[in-house]
Amino acid sequence: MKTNIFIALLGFMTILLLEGCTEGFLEEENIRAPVADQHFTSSKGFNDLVNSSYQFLRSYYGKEEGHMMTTLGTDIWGAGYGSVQSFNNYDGGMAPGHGFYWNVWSGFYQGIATCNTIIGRASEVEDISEADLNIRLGEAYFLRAMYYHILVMHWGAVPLELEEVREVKTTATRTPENEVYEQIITDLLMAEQLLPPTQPDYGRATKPAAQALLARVYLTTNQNEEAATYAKTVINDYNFSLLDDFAEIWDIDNEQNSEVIWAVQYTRDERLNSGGNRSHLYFLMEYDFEPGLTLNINYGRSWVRYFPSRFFLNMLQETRWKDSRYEKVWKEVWYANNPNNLLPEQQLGDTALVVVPYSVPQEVEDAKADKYTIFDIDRIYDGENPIGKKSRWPTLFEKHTDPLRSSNINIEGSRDWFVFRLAEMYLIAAEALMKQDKASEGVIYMNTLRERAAWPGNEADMEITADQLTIDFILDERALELAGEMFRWPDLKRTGKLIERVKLYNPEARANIQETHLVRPIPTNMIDRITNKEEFTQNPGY
Amino acid sequence: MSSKFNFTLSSKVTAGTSILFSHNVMKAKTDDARLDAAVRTSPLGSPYNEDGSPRYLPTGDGFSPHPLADYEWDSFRWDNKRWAAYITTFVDVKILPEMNYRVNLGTDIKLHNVKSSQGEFSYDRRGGPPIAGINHSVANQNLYESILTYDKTFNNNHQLTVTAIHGLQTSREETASANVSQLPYETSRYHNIGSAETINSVGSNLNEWNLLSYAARVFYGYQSKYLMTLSFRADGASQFSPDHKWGYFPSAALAWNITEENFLNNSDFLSNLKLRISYGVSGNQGIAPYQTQGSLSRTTYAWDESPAYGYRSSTLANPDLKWESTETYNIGLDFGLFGGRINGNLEMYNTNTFDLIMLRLLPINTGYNEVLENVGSTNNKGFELGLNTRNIDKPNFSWNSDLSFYLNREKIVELFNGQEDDIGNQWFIGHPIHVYYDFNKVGIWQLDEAAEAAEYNREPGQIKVQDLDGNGAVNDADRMIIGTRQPKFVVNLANSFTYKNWDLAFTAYARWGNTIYIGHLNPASGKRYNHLALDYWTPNNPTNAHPRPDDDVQGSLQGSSQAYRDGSFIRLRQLSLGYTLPESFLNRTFLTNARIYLSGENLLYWTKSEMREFNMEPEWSANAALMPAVRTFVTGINVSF
Repeated sequence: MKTNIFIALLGFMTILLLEGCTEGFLEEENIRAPVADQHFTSSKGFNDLVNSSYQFLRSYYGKEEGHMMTTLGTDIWGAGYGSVQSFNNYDGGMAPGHGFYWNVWSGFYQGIATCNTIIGRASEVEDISEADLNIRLGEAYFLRAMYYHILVMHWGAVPLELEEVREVKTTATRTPENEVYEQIITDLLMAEQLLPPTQPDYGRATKPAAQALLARVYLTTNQNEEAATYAKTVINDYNFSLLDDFAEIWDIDNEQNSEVIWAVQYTRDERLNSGGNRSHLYFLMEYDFEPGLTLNINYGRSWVRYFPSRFFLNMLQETRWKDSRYEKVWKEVWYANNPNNLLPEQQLGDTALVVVPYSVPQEVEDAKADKYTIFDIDRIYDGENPIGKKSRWPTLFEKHTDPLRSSNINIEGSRDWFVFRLAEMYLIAAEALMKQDKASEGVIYMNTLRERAAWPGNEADMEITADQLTIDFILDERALELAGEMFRWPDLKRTGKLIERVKLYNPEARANIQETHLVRPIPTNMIDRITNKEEFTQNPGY
Repeated sequence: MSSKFNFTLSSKVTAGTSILFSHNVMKAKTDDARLDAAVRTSPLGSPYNEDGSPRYLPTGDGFSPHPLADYEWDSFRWDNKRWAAYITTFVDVKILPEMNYRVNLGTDIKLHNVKSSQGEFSYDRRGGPPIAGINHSVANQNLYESILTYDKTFNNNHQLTVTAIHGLQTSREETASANVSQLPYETSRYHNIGSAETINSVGSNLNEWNLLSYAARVFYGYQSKYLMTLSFRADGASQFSPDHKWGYFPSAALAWNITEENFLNNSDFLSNLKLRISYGVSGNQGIAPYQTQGSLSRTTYAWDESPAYGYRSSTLANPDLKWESTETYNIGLDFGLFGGRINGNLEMYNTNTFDLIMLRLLPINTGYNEVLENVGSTNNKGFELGLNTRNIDKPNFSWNSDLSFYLNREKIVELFNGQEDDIGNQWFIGHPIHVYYDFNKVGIWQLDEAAEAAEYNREPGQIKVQDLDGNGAVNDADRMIIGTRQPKFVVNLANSFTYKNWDLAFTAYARWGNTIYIGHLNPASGKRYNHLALDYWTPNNPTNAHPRPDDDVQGSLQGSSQAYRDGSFIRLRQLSLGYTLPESFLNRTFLTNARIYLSGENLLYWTKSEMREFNMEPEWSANAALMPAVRTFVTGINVSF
């Protein structure tokens, strides 16, 4: 009996002991990741928060989403067979359920929410100097404007969220387009005040980046005086300069050149490059199915997305004698690299494939048939209509190619995405001045840019006079200068030329395009999840 | 490996321990990606050269390597090892003859190590540089339970058992991983990942949770005829925020052993009959830790080539999250007829789940994609029948059957907004939680409908979907609930026969009335890959089955609408035939028993959809992949001596 009592006592003591241990037993501490309210009040945490607001730029720039939404359905590009044809054709597949719309929309609203958190919590940061705090705030205002500008450009009236959301909210309101633009300008003017001319960390927002975006936004809102002023400020007040050689802008070993105002950062360190720059995939034609050729990293992987239109190829062909931009960044010739399927008279390293925007006489094609393959303009186009599978074209190459990837199957490229480069400021200045009836001043900016593009000795041939400076001329010039840099669709929309030019030069989109296509469909996932569906309506036509 | 020791320390005290060790090694990856690749490889190429050697790129297309490249080039290693130890000890003390105190202590340790390497000529690397990775995890759960039991029978008729339980449970899981590429020596596989030029990712993680429980149970039985159990438990889970850690769960059960009643004693007809009625509430705290705190997630960016890691709020904190609870009403009947020739049980239940914990998608203008929430309540009603019969029981011939039947109806009763559907999450009042919500294909636009098709922005040959809102356009308002993964019923029938030395057994299984999504019925266009031979539209073949193939587009408009099917199937899962050698023969050998058998799996099956036509595996819980339905034959001999 004694033993029993002893053991019973032992048992109850164990319970009491364990009961003592359970004090705090159910408290939860997450040591592996911080909690917002604690972390963001330290300067370290606040800097982390600011860093995180940048990553959403990568959901658009250098991604298929961004390219597809700015390239297809325009006058200078059509859809290669790898593209989502509907984005070019404005047909029924251009639907709210398409994932590309959602990826951009959701990425940017997360970016905006991060900026809102930065702005809202800035006053709670304990150990940061006012100077540092202001710079970080400037970055947040700049990025919020950046995200909203792209959203409003594509979708028109969008929800304008300016504060951190801290509890479940299931409604959204579409703010009129002009109010969104007003907020963008307010944010940018704030960013301009707060940001320094340069930042020790390359890639952070700077004052000239804010001014460049102001120039771009004012041009869009038709506030041309301000647009011209800001473009000129960026041109004149900093050490940016146009490179003499158009090809050098795209030298992957010299990405931080003097023409770059601000770039989205991609890097060779794969840990820092999640969701890299994939632009190298999209403009490339399908070279690897031709005799003597196979995929390699120097030629890249071809996702056959964007097909230069006949109109554009003609423009390039007509100007190439004086304008170096075609030959410096486009590719017409591939050399044999595949010993397994050489032509009879072909050897490794020989010319294997020639794709050109002009006609090659049949006898020349026949004579070379055993040496290399030729696609001349007549094998690419029948009039304005592409022939066959839509997979062969002279390729916009040097702006995007990325031989520094760890392998050709790695699609995550390291090339920085130039969001603003100085050439655009010359184009904005020219256009904004022209629209204020100051074409004689505007033409100076235009000619400076065109002279840089000229072959040595052809500078005079590139010059134009003030009366030649029209909106159509500017659009053509922007095609030559900015092709493949995610400008085309926004440029056509901004200038009111989208429908006109698409009807003229895009045979596949011609019959379908309408006013309603000036804005994109609001993503299905956005509308499905809100509870005020009767207030928040889809853009008409979708 | 397991061992068990029990010690009787005195007449009052017993103690024991049980140890269970296991070690499991897997070297072959069992995912279906390679089979899928084999099916998708273009038939226009050849995976082997004339001399029989393998060709890495059967068609020359750099994106379609040899489906068996991993094996042909020995370029793939996958080494998945698990070690587990489960150790429990107890001390049991009889404090009084009717009172008993027991302490259980248990620990469960799991080590998991996965290493993989893929060389240049592997299927996934497509000629890229070799990669390797190591993932390691250690998981440990500890359990302590203190149980005090009072058990006494009064007057031989009244049995009373009272139990009080106090329990603690802790769980800790740590993981670490490293993934690299560009290994200088491919043959090093994953044994020298430090030599790699590129580190793709390095990571580690920690998850901890604790559970604290108190429970009491009273059992009362009268003459083994009337049985009653009442219980109550309180559980505290660390995963919930301070105000919501505790959940309280009562239950009550009554049983009536009808065959114990005098009026049924010694009945030939009824050998067993027991009626059970119960009501109980159970809880679910099954969520990962830290989710109510709205923790931050790491982001990646760079300043030039320098790291610019960041932290942002990616999940909305939800301090209101509480236990999910399920109340169940159950009626059960166990029966045995004709001296046990027929045994069976019948269950009917009605369960209501409240405060269902689910990730709920949020409008993204909040900056948050989802939040873990108590989203609403659901109801499940169901019916289960198990029947085991000895149909024929003769010395030379026997026939036994085993039948089980199951049906369940799930529906959402209420959501956070009351009776309003939540399209964003595809939750609909009155429907199961997982439904397919999509456009409803009604056919293919035909040539003579070209004008009408054009009004819908479509062309002949494209999919025609139902215009539900009748607005003359295809838009998001034209989506509807297509079906659910939940089957209407499931039935399994096993039969076994013996005739003298012969035995024959088969198992048949049917699942009825579920909707299934078969991705391969919605092929991406293009020539790169092989596709199922679908009945597709051409001007000369005006079918309504599948749209016109188009080399341009990567998929058909509303393409998913052509891939929903009734997933009903019946299958002969197993058939076996055996012959046991007669004793007269065995007596002349050293064997004591010998049986020769032949068995086949999946010999026959039938599907309501065209899956059978394509020889596709029909049994999937969610979306169907393109796995061939494998038919297996086994022949063998069982001997003992």
